[in-house]
Amino acid sequence: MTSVSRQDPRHGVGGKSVIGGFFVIAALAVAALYVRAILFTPLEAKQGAAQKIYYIHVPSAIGAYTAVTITALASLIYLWLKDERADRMAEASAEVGLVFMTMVLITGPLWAHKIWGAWWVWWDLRLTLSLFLWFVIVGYLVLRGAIEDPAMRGRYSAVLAVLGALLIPFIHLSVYFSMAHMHPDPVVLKPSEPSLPREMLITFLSGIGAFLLLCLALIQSRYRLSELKDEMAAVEAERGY
Amino acid sequence: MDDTQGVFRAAYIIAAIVYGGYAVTIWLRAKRIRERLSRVNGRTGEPGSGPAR
Repeated sequence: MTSVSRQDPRHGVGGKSVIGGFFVIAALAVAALYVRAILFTPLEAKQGAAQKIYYIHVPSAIGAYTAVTITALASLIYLWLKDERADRMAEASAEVGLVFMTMVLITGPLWAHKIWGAWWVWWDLRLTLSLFLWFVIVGYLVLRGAIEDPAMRGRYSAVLAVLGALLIPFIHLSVYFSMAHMHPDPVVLKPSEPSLPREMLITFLSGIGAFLLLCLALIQSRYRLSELKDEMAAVEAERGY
Repeated sequence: MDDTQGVFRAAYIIAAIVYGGYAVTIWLRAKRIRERLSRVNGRTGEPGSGPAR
């Protein structure tokens, strides 16, 4: 507990604002990606403008995988060391992962509706597993909200987080081992050379970079919010509220 | 494929609203907690946080 934060409540723990310079840099990177994708990236011949959804859909998915992986790693550290900072990190990453996964589940059907003629295809393994991962993250956050004892909350939610993260390799590889799929095969993240024209590839890689920055910046901001919440709880407990 | 312009714009606008909106909710939640902290400290006369005891 720092005296700085109690004396200067305009800022978070240690005098840091929850939305800091890192978030501003990430937001500028995403804005630059928007400009590049909308104005300076050519249209794909068959899909037209709908293909440009790819530059935010796939980076959002990679951001979601990153956030869920951080949740699982932080959960493992919590189970091992019982360090509350790891539990806080797991919670922060899970919430950010839910936002990114939600974007994946919004942008995907928007594209599919135009290109496949259907919003959703239930028998496609990647789509269904992605929805399942979304429910696992929601379940994780609901579980955390339902348990009051911090030690029990940390332990139970950590186990769920580690099990949930095991879905990620299955989601990514599902297009290879499932014969029944409509989801396009990877065009960049695959063993062979990327099969995108150079200009599109640069936009796509910029998108991954920008959304990873955004993901990490949001996790940092959400972590600082958790620090503030814990500080508030400690102060209230100390004063007997 | 001009009819795909609408869906492309919708996706980009929704993404901006969702990510930007989420950042705003973090900021608002932090603001609310800081105000509560300020009130609690003020009530108990924490040094530098309000009227002296």
